Amino acid sequence: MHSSVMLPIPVLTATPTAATENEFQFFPTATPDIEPTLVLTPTPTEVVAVPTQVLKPTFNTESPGTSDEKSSTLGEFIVTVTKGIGILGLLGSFGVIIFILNRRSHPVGLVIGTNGLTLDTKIEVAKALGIKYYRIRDINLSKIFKNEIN
Amino acid sequence: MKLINIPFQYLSESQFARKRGLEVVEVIEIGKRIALSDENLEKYAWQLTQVIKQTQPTIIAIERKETSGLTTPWTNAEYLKLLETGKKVATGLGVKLTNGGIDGDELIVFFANFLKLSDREKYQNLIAKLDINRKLFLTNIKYSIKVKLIEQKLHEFLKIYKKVGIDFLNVNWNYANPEVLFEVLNFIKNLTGMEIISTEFIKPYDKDISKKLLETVNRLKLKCVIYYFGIESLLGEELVNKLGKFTKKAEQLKSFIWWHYNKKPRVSSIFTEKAENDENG
Repeated sequence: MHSSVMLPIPVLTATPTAATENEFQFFPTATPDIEPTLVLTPTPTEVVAVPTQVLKPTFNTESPGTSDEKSSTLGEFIVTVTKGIGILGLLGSFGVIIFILNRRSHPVGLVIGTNGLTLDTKIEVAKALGIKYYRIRDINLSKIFKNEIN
Repeated sequence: MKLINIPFQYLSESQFARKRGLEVVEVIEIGKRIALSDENLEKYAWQLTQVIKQTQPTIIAIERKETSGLTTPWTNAEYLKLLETGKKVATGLGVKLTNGGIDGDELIVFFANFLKLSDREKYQNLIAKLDINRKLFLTNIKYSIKVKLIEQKLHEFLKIYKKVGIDFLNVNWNYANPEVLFEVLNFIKNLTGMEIISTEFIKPYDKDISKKLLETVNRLKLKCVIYYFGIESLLGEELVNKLGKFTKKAEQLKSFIWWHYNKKPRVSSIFTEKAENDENG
């Protein structure tokens, strides 16, 4: 946890520098003479994009905000479970579906936020799993405060 | 400046989550690029104040478009101003501030560059752990300019974070290798002395790797992690069939919970047991 007091920056460089609080160096400034020795075979024939381009997940990673409109799949499923419990509870003699998740709290706050889940479902799942943090849809200031800043 | 009500969808989501005992995290997107005059910074501070007061988050991240250091629309000086203003507002309202999220792949590049200059053996070991695309990006000469740009940009970002004194260093992670995750984040943590969180952590479908990633997150003692996951495979089937048996979808749910949370859910059905007993005679 940071206070307003500036912490000294650890300098983990091969060549120590006289870094100040705001002007530190993480790396040595000298040109490295070490070249990678990795030999890759076979040579890919396709152009390899930078990591930020090629390593995207196969599913949609849009913000929770956009995804909230997409109620489906697991969300519907869990809603079905909930409804099912209620209906079967009423029927009584036919038995009850027990749907219990392990509720141990995670030592680290977990946040649920994904595509395909309704708001209710996301929060219900988060609670069921003992999640501490929840990320709401991203807040776009220019959309909320139209024409406030030019 | 007149009070502007935050749209209902933001308020309801935040309120609903808080009522259920969850702490709210918000990623702020400033939107269009603005000239950061004193007047505009004052308006920006006022807008942040309105958002925080009405949605009551625990953590705010500024700003969303930072996620790739190479494509952020802000200059370093502008981003410094935005964060400084955000810090002032957040601190005044008792909210923690973090950056928008450094891309994990860029951190890998940053760490690899550090090792390349300081420890050849460790550098080679790291390279060996990477997938072919990442290996190529780090070792092929044609990407060397981009590698250098990433290293420089991150270096500048880290200096800005330290100067502002943000409460957490936010990383967006998307590489399913627990060892690399640990090495990179541990390095960044030690290097900056900052607590690390992740407002976007992509978890893979592989159960074992997912479990190891979660263990690594625990080992790193990350303060807050937002897991993202895909659920497209869970398509419209009923939960229980006519015989009271759990369907494939129910089984998928169990796997889903296990994959993403490393928790073994207990899903049972008296109805199911009765049907199974009937079938068994």
